[in-house]
Amino acid sequence: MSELEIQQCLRCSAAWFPDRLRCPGCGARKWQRVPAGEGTVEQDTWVHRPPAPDGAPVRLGSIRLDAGPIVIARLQEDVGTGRRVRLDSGADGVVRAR
Amino acid sequence: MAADACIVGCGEARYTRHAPAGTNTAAVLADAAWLALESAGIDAGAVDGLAVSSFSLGPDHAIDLAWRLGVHLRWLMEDTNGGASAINMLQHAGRAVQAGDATTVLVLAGDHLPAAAFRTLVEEYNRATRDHLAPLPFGGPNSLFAMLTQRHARAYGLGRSDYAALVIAQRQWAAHNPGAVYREPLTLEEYLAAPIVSDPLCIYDCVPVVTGGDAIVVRARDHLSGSRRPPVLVRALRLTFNPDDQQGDGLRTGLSVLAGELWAEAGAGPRDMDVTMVYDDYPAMALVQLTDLGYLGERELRGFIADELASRRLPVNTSGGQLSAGQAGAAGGLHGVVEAVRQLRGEAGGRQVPGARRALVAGYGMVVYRYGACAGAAVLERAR
Ligand SMILES: [Zn+2]
Repeated sequence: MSELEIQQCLRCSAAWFPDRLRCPGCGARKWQRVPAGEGTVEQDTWVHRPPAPDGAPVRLGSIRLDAGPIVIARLQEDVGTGRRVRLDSGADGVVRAR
Repeated sequence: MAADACIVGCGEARYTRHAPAGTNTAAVLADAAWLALESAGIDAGAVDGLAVSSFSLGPDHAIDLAWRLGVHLRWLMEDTNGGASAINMLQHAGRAVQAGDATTVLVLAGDHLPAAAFRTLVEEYNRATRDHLAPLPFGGPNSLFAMLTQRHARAYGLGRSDYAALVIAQRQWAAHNPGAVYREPLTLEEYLAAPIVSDPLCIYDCVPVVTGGDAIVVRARDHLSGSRRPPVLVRALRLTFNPDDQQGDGLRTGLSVLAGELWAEAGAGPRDMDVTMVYDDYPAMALVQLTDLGYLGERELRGFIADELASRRLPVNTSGGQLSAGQAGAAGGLHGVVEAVRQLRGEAGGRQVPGARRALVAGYGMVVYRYGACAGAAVLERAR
């Protein structure tokens, strides 16, 4: 588990997630990977019938990063709309907000 | 689009929640095709163009379908734009018959998606979904549109009963559509008590997945000999793809970008439409499309829902829409075109809007990460 990395344009510094092939901001095509940093949960929802192994409800949120991108992530139960969070990314591909 | 592309026939293969064993997508598409050709009074041997959109036709492609349908073509197209595929195929088919590349184009869309196939489709919809959403897991687009609906409700001051009004009105339309899978009346109490899928969306806000298919036949106006029923002209048509790099809130679609040009080309406006079919994958998206296309004028959305939709004074999604008739995968967009053509030809039975002459049909779809990135609309008009 490590901090989610996002794509940053080397020319205009705009950040993107998921990855693009050409910077929507300036048109450049050179990038670096940067940590996603902090963001704010803007919406949250309980998904009641997810295809989770145990079928248990899953809590998701829409997080606007200070760097710009909006990321859909799994939320811990006590994390809700308005909370400041950081995003972790696991080998399982799950982005988690904490 | 110049005015001489016409829809001369339409058909819908019966929508079913639980298709019998042995059902397959190609056969469903063929059922829709034969119905559309029959309604056009055209023999399959006259078809020289074919367009198809389906999530479940694979491993076959359009050519395999042509072979199995036994049609000999000089124009062939396969479309992958989901809810916007119908308008996209209609644009291309219209151009083809105008240019003379084909005379008679069969436009098909449909799907048969058993539970496992549906889950695979949802989780491998595209790279962003497969890599970043499916692992969460996210439960399909319901969770994304749940959060979009939260933004929408907040932006417009709406509550669950406002969205319910649209759902209930469409169910009232569906009562008169024998092809709709849900036709029983729905009350506000039932809606509010229904199981939540992803808050605030309940089961009635999410389209029932069905097996089914839709078809239209497109011809140029100077190739109309033999058609017994009034042809439907394509007066105007516009599409947009990726208008905002997914950087917005999803509360505007590309329709807001194309509406001005669309209405100008049609020489008409929202008030001139006798029937309107918007892509109702979720109630909020139907409202967004009506807003984008200028149906509200100076009115507030909440009052518009009560005065125009709940009352059914404005005929919107008269088949019951996908919310009541069902969503047959990639046929979701063509379903609206078929219903519009039925209304304009006076073939809509108990839900017929008297004297309907002009229709607006909108398509929307392909969630690339947070919301749909494809949108289009067409203005249709009965020729006589
Ligand atoms: Zn840039």
